[in-house]
Amino acid sequence: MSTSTDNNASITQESGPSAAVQDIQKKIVVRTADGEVFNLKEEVAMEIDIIKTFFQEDSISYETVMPLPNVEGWEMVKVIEYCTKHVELKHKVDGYKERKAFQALFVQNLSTKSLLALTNTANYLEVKYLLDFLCQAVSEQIKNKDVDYVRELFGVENDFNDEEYEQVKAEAPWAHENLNNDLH
Amino acid sequence: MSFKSILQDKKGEFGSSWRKRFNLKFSYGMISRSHRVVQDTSFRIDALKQSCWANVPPELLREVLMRIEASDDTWPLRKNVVACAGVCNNWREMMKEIVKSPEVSGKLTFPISLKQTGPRDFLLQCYIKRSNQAYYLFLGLHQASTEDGKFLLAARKRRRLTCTDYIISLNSENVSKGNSAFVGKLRSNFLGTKFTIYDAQPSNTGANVTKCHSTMKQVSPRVPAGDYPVGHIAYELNVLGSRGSRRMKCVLDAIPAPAVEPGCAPTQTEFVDSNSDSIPSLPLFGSKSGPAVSVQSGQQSGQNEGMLVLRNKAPRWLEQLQRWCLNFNRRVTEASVKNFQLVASPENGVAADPEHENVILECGKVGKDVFTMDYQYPISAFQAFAICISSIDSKIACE
Repeated sequence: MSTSTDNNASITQESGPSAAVQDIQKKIVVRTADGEVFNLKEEVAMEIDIIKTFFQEDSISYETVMPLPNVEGWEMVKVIEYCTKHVELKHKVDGYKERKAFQALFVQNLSTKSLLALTNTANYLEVKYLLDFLCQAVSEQIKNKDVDYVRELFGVENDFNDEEYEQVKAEAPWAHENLNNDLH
Repeated sequence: MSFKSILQDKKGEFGSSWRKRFNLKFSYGMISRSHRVVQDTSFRIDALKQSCWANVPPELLREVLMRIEASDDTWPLRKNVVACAGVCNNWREMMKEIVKSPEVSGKLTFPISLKQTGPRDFLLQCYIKRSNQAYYLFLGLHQASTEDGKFLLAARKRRRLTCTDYIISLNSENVSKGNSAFVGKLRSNFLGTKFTIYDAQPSNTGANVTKCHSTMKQVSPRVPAGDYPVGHIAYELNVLGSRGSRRMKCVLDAIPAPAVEPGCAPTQTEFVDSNSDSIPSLPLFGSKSGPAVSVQSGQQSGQNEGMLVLRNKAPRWLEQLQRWCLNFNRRVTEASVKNFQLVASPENGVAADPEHENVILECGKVGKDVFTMDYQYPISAFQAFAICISSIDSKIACE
């Protein structure tokens, strides 16, 4: 019994133990906009800069539940999934193929709208590598979409003035180019 | 992205775009000890109804657009960059900032790229196809390829009583002066020995040559769809008469001679609808060190002061082949009196060094009706095309 206490004591670090949790791993707790609460392993939580800053720079106790008002529950799930994988692959020497396969699966069932929302969230949470990956994924998605669809998706309007609109129209043949080499 | 819907857009209609409301839920919860580990990965997508991409910071949008520009750097994928510039004002401005001119990037992106100076460090490879009194310019998409290129410009020949005109247009099907696709024309004299290149739009209007700037606005004075002379080409027989190669001299009015040195050639940034009544304002920049050049309508090639003069590189007579030869680096495969390479003439004040002459434009035959055209700074694709047509069509020194 004393051994186990010693073990616990040796694991305890200076910056506030989260004694309430049952297992030995340190956990950080966040609550998303829809009220869902998540336990994150410390090493995963520290991948998320906004969380890292909150707890480390301000020396806030790990007992505090950090609110994330701009994040939905499903988004948090995805972010945790990505960061967990990232941490796991950090220690692997040749994780390239595995990373690529994981990334493909990660976005596979995400609609373009979900992808956009998640990108926004990754930006807010400040996870650079996730943001880079998602921006790339968004750019791949936009390329194959009709311009009206893109406008609706991004909530933007066709706000060209007359002169600009003429230019845009003039560029239209270059915008949907097909390489038909037939001459008349 | 498909642009078909843009062509159906009418002025003032904004389609079915709408903005989603963005609800921020601030749940500054109490410090709670109810730790519930969520393991269920089936997320609810209706939650995303509350998020709105329109509220995202512009730097994120910029990141996305930059990635599109970087990954779609060759045609046909480059069309995606053009499509993005047609979504809305914000996107257009951002994309126009991201895309660099052909001089810097070596890439053709928007139609205006055809009026901008070519790359500084290498020759952009294009090819011309001749068909039924018309010429078609294509960008080569693969090294040395003369098939399946990206269409750039078309030129249609119109013979008149005392001269011949070639109308140059962005539209391959409707090559005329009467639409917004009209880019310029080439006019030949009766004998086909002197040509004038006319631009549909002015590059300068008597102002000093301005410094290249990617955001420079085009000046559009109130003149009808224009005929602004921007270049003159003259062909002569050389001393050997028709047994030798011809002599070509090009004077490019709109380009100052110092442009041949690391300097700055004027470049256009937007096509302006010649029918539009608006006159965009021109921010004036100080002129680059060099003579001021003013372009006046109707100026003939008598005065060359300060304007770029190009001459064709003299071929060498190779005794063993009994032929005049130029080194085209395998870009030209058929001998023809129409093949040429243009270099900056010593008249520009550039030291003549035959060993290291920088070829600015070269053109040569590779098939019955196919010619390669390679050009670089300080001329544009439009000017290069016009010069090449003049050579291909000129009858001087032809048997």
